[in-house]
Formats: sequence, C-alpha cells, structure tokens
Amino acid sequence: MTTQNQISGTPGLMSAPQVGRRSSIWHQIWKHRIEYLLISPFFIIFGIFHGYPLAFSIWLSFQRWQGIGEPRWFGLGNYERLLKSERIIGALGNTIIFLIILLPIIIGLTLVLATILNSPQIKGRKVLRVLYFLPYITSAVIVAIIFQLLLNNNSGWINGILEAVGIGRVGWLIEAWPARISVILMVLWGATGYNVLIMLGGLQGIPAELYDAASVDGADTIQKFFFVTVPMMRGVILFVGITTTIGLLNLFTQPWLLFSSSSGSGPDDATATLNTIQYSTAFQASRYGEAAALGFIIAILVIFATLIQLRLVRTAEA
Amino acid sequence: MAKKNFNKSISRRSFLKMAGVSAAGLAATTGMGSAFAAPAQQEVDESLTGTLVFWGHGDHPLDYIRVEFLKKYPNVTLDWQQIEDHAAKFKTAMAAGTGAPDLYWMEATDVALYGAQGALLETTDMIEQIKDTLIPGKLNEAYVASMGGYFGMPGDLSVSGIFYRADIMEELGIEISDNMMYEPDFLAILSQIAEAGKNAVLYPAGGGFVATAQWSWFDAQFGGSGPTTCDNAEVTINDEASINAVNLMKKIYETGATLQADFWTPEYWAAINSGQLVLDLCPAWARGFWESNINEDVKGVWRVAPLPRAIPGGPNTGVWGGATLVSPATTQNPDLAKIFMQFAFGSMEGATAAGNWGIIPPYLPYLEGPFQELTTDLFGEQVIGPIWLDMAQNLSLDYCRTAAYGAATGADVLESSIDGMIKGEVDIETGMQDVADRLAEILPDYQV
Repeated sequence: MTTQNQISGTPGLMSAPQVGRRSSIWHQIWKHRIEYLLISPFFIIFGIFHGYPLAFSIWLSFQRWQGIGEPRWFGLGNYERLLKSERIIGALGNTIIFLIILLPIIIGLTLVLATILNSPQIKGRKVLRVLYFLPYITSAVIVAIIFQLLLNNNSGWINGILEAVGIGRVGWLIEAWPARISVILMVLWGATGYNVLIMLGGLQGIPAELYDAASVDGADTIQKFFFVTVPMMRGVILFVGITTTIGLLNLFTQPWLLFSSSSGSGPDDATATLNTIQYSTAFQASRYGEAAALGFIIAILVIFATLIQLRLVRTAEA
Repeated sequence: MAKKNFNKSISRRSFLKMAGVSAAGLAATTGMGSAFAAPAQQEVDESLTGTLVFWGHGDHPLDYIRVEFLKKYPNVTLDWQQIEDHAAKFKTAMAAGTGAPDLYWMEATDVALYGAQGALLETTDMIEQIKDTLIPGKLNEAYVASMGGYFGMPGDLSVSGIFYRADIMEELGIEISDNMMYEPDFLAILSQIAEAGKNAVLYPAGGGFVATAQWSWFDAQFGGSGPTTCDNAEVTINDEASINAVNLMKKIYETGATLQADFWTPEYWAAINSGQLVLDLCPAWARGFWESNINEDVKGVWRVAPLPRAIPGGPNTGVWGGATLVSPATTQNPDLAKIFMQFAFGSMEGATAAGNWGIIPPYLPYLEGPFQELTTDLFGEQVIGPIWLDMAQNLSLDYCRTAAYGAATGADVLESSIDGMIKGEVDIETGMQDVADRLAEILPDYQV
C-alpha cells in the first residue's frame, strides 16, 4: 500500500487509510485507462443529457423562475405549495384510481390473452399477435380523435348502441366517472398489445416438462394455469406490474388528448393527473420551478410504488 | 390568430388538429363566394436580403402575409416552421437563451412577461412612426409599462361577437339586434332557443378555457381590469366586475341553451352542420377556422353581431386571444424583423392579406378602407367590416392581459374552479375569493 509520506511528503495531514484509498482509486483508473476511455462516451453523453439536467432540475425546484430572467431563490416554497394544493391531491387521487383499476386488469387480461395466444390449438396466432400489437404503434392523436367520436355524447356510436338497447346515454366525456372510464378504456386499448407480447415471451420460456408433469399428476387446464403458469411467470408479471405502474403514475397523453379543452383535467378535474398538471404548470403557466418540484414528487412516488411491489413479491416468495 | 388565454399550447393543439384536417379546405374556400380585397400593387425591392425564421401553428394568417411580402422582397428568405408544439419549443428556446426564431406569434400575457424581462426586441422606434394608424385597444398590448416601450407589432384584433344563424332566428321569430343588453334581451333569446330544442353558446364539460374566455369578455364588459390591476400589482379577480361576470355566465348556463361539447371537436362542427347550434359567442379569428370546418350548405347563412352590453354604454365586445408579432431580443436580424412586422400589420398589403385570412389586423387605413367592403363565405352577403370596426373601437382600454393573466385564467386557478360556480355547487363570492387567494399566492412569480 502507498504510504502517506510517499503521497504528500507532509506527515500528519491526512490519515493513511484515506490516502491509501484515493491512491488506490487513481491507480486503478490509470491502470485501466484504455477501458475507461472506451466506455467514456456513454458517461459523457449521460452527464450532458441526463446528469446535468437532473442537477439543474433539483436546483430549479428551489427557485421561482418564469423561463426568462434570473431565477429567484424560493427555498422549499414550490414543494410547500404543491403539497398543500387540493388540485395536486385530487390528481394523485385520480392517478391512484387509474392504478387500482387498470393494474390488475392489465396484468390479468394480458396474461390470459397471452396464454390463449400461446395455445397451439388457436389458429391464426401470428395474425392475432399483430392485431393485438397494432394499437401500441398507432398514433395516440388519431386514437384520441376516434375515441372522441365513439364516446361523443350526442352523436357517438357507443351512446347510439346504448340507447338502442334501452340503457340510455352516458356522458362519457362530460361527467366525472364516465370520463375516467373513457381514459381507462383508451389506456387499456393501447397498453394491452405490448404487455401481451411481454407475457407471451415469458410463457414461451416455461419448460413444457412442467405442464407434462402437472398432467401426469392429474391437473386440469385451470389448475395448470394457477399452479404452473402463474408461479413461473412471477418475474414477468412483476416486470409488467412495475412498468405499468410507472406508466400510470406518468399518465399524460390519454387525458391530455381526450380533454384538450381543459388541459387534460376533464369534467370536475376527474382526469387531471400529476403529469398533465406538471406540463401546464411549466409550459402554460411558465412556473418552471414549481413544475420541476412536481417532477421530483412524481419521481419519489414512482420509486416508492416500485419498492412496494418488489417487497410484495419478495414477501410472496418467502 | 389565437384564442383563449393563449399561452396554452393545448388550444394551439386543437387548432392544429383541425388545421391538419382542413388546411386545404381553407385554401379552397377562400376563393369561393367571398369578396376578398385584392392586395395593393407593390413595388418590388430586390435590394433587401436576409433570412427570417418563424415558428407557429399550421394554417396561419402569416402564411398569407408571407406570400405578399415575398412578392415585394423576393430576395428575402422566409423560413416558416409550422409545428404542433411550437409554444413549448419557443419557451424552451427562450429559457435557454438561444435557438429562438426571429418571429413569433405571441399572446399578450407572454408579451408582458417576456417584455418586462427585456427578452423581446424593442420596437418603439417603428411603432412611434405608425401608432396613429393602429387601433389603440390593440396597441396597448404591445406596450410594456415597466420598460416604457413597445415590444412587438400589434397583430390580431381579438374582438369578439355573436355568430348566429340568421335563417333559423327568423324561423324562431328572434331578432338579433346590434344593440342588446345581456339582461334581459340576450338571456330571453337564449331561453327561446332552448325552448325550440336548439343550442346556443358552447359550454364544454367542466367549462375549460371556453369558460374562462367568457369570463374575460364579461369582466371587460362589466368594467373590470382582468385578473389583476394593469400594473400586475394587485389581484382583482374577485372584484365586483369579475363576480358580475361569473353571475352572468351562470345565468346563461341556466337558460338551458348551452351546448355541451368539447371546443371545436367533430361534435361541435356536427352541431353546426345539423342546425343544432344556432348561435355562439366567437372571436373574430374564429371565422377562418369555421370556414375550414363547416359544410358548404351552412355557409352564407350565418351572420355576425356585436356582443350584447353588460352595462348601459359599456363595451359591446371583449378579447379572447389575439396575438402580437414579436421578435426575441437575441434575433440576429432585428432590422429585417421590424421590416416584416411593419409590412405585416402596418401596411395595406400585409393588412389586406391578414384580413383575407380571417383575422382583423389593427391597421386603421385597411379597416376604414377595403375592410369596409369585405364579405365572406361564412357571413354571406353581410358586409362585416363596419360591425367589426365598431367593436374594435369599443375595446375596453382598462382591461389588461398582464404577465399573470395566462396563469390566472389557466388550469390551476380560474379554469379549474369556475365550473362549480356556474353550476351552483359553489357560492360565487366564496369561490372567487378562493380563486383570488390562489392567484395572490402565485402572483409574485409574475412580478419583476
């Protein structure tokens, strides 16, 4: 180990372990300089396009800034404003509603659809896979226009059908809960195909021997699904669960496009999400500091939700 | 053109949605049945060179002006970049201090915000030479009091009026007068329309920015100054004029005539095409978009009238949107930018082109000249110039769209609160006090 005296020539200024660690790190870097040089482009690009903006956003979240002129120090003012804002609490409530309804539906539906698509008895599976995936790659703007036409109060097809069967019109785009359901339908329609493909990939990795063994033990199709498929798919289900949760906590496009007149908020603020509020705070109200603070609140929520899911899975495994 | 509290990109998004479907439609309609003024003959100036970059939405009035400008200055390059998210992109470029275009179509509230920070090109020298030819109500919006100068060229006179189906009104025995009061005249008309099973006045679910546009009109008409005083120092959104404005909105809603549809969506156009929506309150710039989106068979049967008055002798119009043409202070072509600005809205050629698109330029020689003869596809044989000019000269000079206006009328303040008051779920005075408290909390953000 390099000694303190060898490094500084000044005994007593630094403790030996500190100097030794630092020396060791620089030594290692120098020793592997070519390798570090080769991977450095990633870190440089990451630093410029992710590291710096992240650091700037943290700093910005403590400022008042309208996107022009000198930012003014605001301390925790932006966070304080947001945490006592009824609108933010309402948007968080909307997000939780979307999460509670959509998460189990997306996981359950996509697992069942993928299991069906994975069955050799189903004909035209390739065509079905393409059909399921198409919504994922269709422009959200076009989808929103079509949903608006379908869900129109006066001239929409859905209300036309409901009236024809005697149920009567539903204010899909003009009442709070129907508006939420409209957003849920649009999210579900778009998210199903992608997640079915993920589930399908997981299903195809389950060894056939496990199903054979279950058959030998007398398991029927339902039992095989619950006692072979589901346990073997735990990792994939966790992945879909986490990515869906992150997506829903960042929900923006669907409410924004369906309820453009109200900046995505919909009737009675029923479809406002943290992200629609963040966007309008930044780019409509020009309060960039507050928007940055909201971004960090959303990030903390995402991390928190992900940790809960990981903990739940580990508990189940234990 | 612009609309609502127009620092809202979503409305531009709405415009662009429509523009995408119908840009060709507008081009086609402009030549059909309208008595459009021919731009004045221009002398060609080949000595002027340079490049100007403009960002804006598609189907833009500056498209027409661009064509005329290039006829006069053929050696200038006008790089028109018409993109959906131009507002967010522009604000980002301004925040970065680099990369902004030379020309931008900016809402009054942003002119106040950016102008007060010295971020816009000062145009006082140009304006001083032509200010007598511009409508005062619009000229005010380019003036930044804290800097003592003009920052931009007044562009789109956002006077607003009533668009109504003359034929259906006649069938219903309703007369739309040029000199009505909201109470009792207009409310009685709305009740009559509702009784006939028709709709009048758009009111989207939740109110949205259409509701705050109505509030802006009525507040100005009741003598209000907007959400704040014109120096942006004090909150006035809960003053008497503002509360009267919300009360009037509630009364209009309670007539049962309002159409519940989202702003300018297929449902809205379908209501017009089917004769279900027979009257609406609209800014002047709406005409171009209407002509692009409604069926041929319902063009020519619409007429325009001034807004009713809220108080005797008060303004018969109000503002909604209406942009100012600005240039960032960082432009590399300040002189060329000013030449374009002056051509666009301070010359007969530019003003005529803007008028032909569908907006009302603030240039008095045009408004008092060719505009007085203008007829359009939408309004058929009605000569619309005198009506709009009268409204333009009636614009309240006490109403201001300050730096805080956009946020005050936006999603997290008035827009999200007003619907409950209109529907009687929240007491109006209590509700507006809450709105005022919220605005007071964020107002320092918009003060220099």
